[in-house]
Amino acid sequence: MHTAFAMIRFGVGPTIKDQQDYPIAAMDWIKGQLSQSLDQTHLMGLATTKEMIKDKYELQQARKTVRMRQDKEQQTMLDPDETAAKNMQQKLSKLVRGQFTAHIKQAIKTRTPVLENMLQFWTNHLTVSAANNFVRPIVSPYVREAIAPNIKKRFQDLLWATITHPAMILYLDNQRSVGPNSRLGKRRSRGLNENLAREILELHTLGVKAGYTLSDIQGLAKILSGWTVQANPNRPHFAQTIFRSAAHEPGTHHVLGKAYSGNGEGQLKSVIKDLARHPKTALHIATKLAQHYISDQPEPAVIKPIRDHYLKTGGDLQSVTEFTFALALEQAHPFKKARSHQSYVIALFRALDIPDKFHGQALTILREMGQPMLMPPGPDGWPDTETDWITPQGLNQRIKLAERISQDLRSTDARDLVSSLFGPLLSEKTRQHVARAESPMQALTLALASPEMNYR
Amino acid sequence: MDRRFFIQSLAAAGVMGLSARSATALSGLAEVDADTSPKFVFILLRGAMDGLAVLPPIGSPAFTQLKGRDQDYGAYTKINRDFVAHPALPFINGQVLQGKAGFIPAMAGPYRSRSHFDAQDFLELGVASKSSMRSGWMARTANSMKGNDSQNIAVALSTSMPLTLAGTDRALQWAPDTLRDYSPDTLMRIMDLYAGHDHLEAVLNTAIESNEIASGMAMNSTMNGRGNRQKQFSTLAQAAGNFLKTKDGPSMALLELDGWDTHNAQDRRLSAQLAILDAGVKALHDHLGHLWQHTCVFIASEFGRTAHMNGTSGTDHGTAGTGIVLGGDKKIAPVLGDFPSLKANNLFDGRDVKPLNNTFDVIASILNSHMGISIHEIEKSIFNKDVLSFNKYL
Repeated sequence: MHTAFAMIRFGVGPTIKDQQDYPIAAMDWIKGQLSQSLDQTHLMGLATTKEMIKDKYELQQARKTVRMRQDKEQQTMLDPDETAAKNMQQKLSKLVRGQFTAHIKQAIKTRTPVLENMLQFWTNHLTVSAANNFVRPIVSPYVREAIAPNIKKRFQDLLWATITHPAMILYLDNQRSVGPNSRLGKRRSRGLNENLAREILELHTLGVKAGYTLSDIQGLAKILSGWTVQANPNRPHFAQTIFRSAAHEPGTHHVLGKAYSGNGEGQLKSVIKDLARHPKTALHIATKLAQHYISDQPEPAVIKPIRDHYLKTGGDLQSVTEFTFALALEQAHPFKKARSHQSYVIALFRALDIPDKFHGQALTILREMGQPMLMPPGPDGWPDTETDWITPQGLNQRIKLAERISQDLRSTDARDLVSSLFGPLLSEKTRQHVARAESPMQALTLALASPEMNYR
Repeated sequence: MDRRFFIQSLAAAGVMGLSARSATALSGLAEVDADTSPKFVFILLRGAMDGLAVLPPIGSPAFTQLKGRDQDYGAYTKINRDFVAHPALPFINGQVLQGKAGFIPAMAGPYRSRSHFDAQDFLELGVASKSSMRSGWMARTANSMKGNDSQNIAVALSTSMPLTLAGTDRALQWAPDTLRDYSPDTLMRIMDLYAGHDHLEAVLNTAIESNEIASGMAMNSTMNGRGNRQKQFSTLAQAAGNFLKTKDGPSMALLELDGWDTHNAQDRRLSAQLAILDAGVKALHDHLGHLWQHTCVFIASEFGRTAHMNGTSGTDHGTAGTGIVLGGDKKIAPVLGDFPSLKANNLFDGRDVKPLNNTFDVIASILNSHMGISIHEIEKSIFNKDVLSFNKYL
């Protein structure tokens, strides 16, 4: 299979410079990409989890002051505290917007497209959605701190880093989860929150209907109880995940027929490792990888080898991904995987080499298309098949966008563009339609609306 | 050239937005002054308009022998002994009959190319072949006209600066913030591009059927769709009028209209296109009011189409087409220039109308007799001697 296929299928969108790498054999190119470090140039200097939580905390304090004053009916017209609170809110919103812009800019400009694609895949698999107002300020730090460093490690490393990150703890309400028989539980009759436990089993590891029961969820929830985030800036480990043994359900807990005793980090680490290495988890992840990289409905004959390789390597993500790529080179066909709106817009910006200062507009476009960046509706993230993204409304919006951009970039020669972007994979049909367009703008519209642009 | 890039919100605001540069120009709207200095509007029709269908030379014996050209021209407007004009141009035809407008048949640029890309470039750059020219002829005209002030001399009513006005700092570009629907022609081509694709074809069809995409499309040429494009072009034409009216505002305007590449279903498609063009020209005329007599409008395409019609009720790329000139305060003959025989042995390359009138000559005539630019200056700064034939049209 030509290297162009690998670049397009496994990357984040072709650029006109891709041809330079055509002489490299596909598998060599892949290995080269996987051996690099994730390009995070444009994410440098962004705020950390701690800094964002601190800002959020200060905002909450400011609001509290205003509310107290309102309650006491001491509010005046130009309440300086209210203004201060508003300013803080705006500052925080601006900060978050800046972070999201940096993420999309990074995707557009990445020098490590394969790793960037993997980052997006795992960010989606282990979703913490910014649609949740509460955690919105720490989604970007979550991606940078918990996911990015672990995409080439073992799945258990990635899983550990993500489910213990403050963002995930807060997103799935685990900070509220208190063992009923813990010191705190008995004192305040608080109870378990099963959200995180369920999603770990259902979404992150075993998958839906993979044979776990309510009792397994509860067992895991008990193990997770007490894992919370330090919200008090005056206490040690502020803004970090901590284990509060006073809220932890004591005793030995059972998950999938195995007993987990002990307290604190060891107990959770043990069950997470077992879940990460479970054959059902291997199957689940193999299926998702096959669907993302090979085809919408991958055959068992394709999924099983990936699953076996996963189990054999202990969930080594670099190795498993490379294995999946090799299968894709054998089995997959070009331009059969539909791009999500995010994938399409990023690919568009890359293909046209749109200048940096306009990258923020990509966020607006995605919001209007219904796929706001890092804001899927739920913890199950965005779907990944053709029928999810190539819809009447979605397609109409893409074509409108193509037309819009074409009006603004009339000096781009679409004939050269499609030839450079798609190389030997360019269909004669698309080439002809672009060449026969009635104006340069129409030619570019057709290029950007082509199957080659909408699929990878 | 600076690549400016605006993505307007997909949720159309429907409000006319102004770019900073144009704000001052339009602020003069309140004071419509008696600025009787000459004005020039160029309307560029992208896609190659079929000259023979717009101005059928019924007086030409060989004309009705051409494939597909033998139809009933009863509804057409008789403008002189030899020519009738398409009925979808009521305003323009009316001007012609009043001696205020004229058609230029058998018109082509000095370049020979049947590629839209190349020919549009040649037309906009004002050259006869590929050259190192990077500026448009209207830009060079603006540069020629600039005095000591810094006012804009030309305005492009487009979402980005067309090549015709590339290469001057005296041009501004303006378009409202409303999102346009893509043209029926573009939609047709996309449908064709998607034909046979497992998924894209079906989804696009659904989108059209469910009115997701409102455009004056083939199956049901809804007024809705065509109405939108007509409204858009007329809005731009009005805006051009506003710019030209303002004191110390630009004296040249550039409008564009695409959708002329009628390889099929020409009858229906061309009628729709001409209606849009006519409405726009009328809007411009109405907006200019008493300044119309000081304004000259020239309408041209990059080339014409084949003399014979093809097997899909359309025409293919040709050479000579038809131009239209309007306005000014002098009487204009209904048909300007020469017209060739359409006998088989006189068709250019055996297929096209022979070009006898040079598009650039028409422009040069307008620049000279209407805008007052000397021939010397035109040759020196705007059109190279070798692209002109030096025939006068006005």
